[in-house]
Amino acid sequence: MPSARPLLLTLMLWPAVVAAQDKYGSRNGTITFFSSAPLEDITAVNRNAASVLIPSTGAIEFSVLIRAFEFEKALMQEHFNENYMESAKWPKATFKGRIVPNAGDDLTKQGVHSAEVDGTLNIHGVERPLHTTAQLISGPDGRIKAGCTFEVKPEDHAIAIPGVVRDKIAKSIQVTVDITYRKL
Amino acid sequence: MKRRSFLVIGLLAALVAAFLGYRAWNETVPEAADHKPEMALPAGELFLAFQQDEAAAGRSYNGKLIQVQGAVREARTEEDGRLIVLLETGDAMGAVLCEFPIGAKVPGAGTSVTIKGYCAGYNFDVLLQRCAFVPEHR
Repeated sequence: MPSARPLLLTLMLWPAVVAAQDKYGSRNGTITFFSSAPLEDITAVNRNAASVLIPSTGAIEFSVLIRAFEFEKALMQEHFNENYMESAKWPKATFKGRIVPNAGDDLTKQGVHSAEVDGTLNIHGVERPLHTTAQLISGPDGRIKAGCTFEVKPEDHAIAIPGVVRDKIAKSIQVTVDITYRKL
Repeated sequence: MKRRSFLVIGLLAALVAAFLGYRAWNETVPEAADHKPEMALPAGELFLAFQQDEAAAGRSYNGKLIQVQGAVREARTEEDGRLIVLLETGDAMGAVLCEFPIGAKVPGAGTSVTIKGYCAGYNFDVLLQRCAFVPEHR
């Protein structure tokens, strides 16, 4: 799986390289996914997403540990890791892209901002383009809260759902991102 | 008579299977507090293993209940009540990040602690989830 490391490493580990650009980061973003199923709704949360955002260029990257998704039920978590996501083989999901605010808008300016997000989502070792809309709130403390919701189809990422449960799992999974960036 | 006995045994077996299935389906994710760790090592050693070869360390540690020992770099309680403890690793850019359930006692910075938790992998920090403190034996 291509890694999100280059930009994340550059930004988080060698700040001097990009000292001229204001960069924002977080290692505790929350990613939630929800799937409505006839037997039972399935939900899981990951509170350890790492991300870097450069408002001046719009560059944005995420790196998420698959094993860090927590379910209420042990069996769901086991099936998620071993049968569907194969987390031993593909331990991370990544997103690399660009966040484009409305013309002339500055994401670091205090207030609420809306922006388009375009990039490549890599789950289960399969890359797919992703487009969504994000809302960002730049606070007086200099932090930027960002959130968005999008849909992911397991079949788009070669995630095989066994025939026995195929009809019991939603065709697309709703993913919600909630993250607070602080200046690095 | 024989046929009735088979029916009763079959019914009982079906009931037991249904009960076991129901219990397995509803079993919650295990907490470290209730289980014995599979291995124990210093926090810095665990972090170094992931830094040097993430894939190999992942094969050794991911999904396993690990006990680590180290000094507390930072401890904070999140808005939802979860305790987060960062253990020193000898690398300022990364830590062993231990997530505790709501209600865990906050240790002081610099304190030496022993913690067990389920390893989720390495994402700049090594992440241990559903952690519990291991009492020091004197």
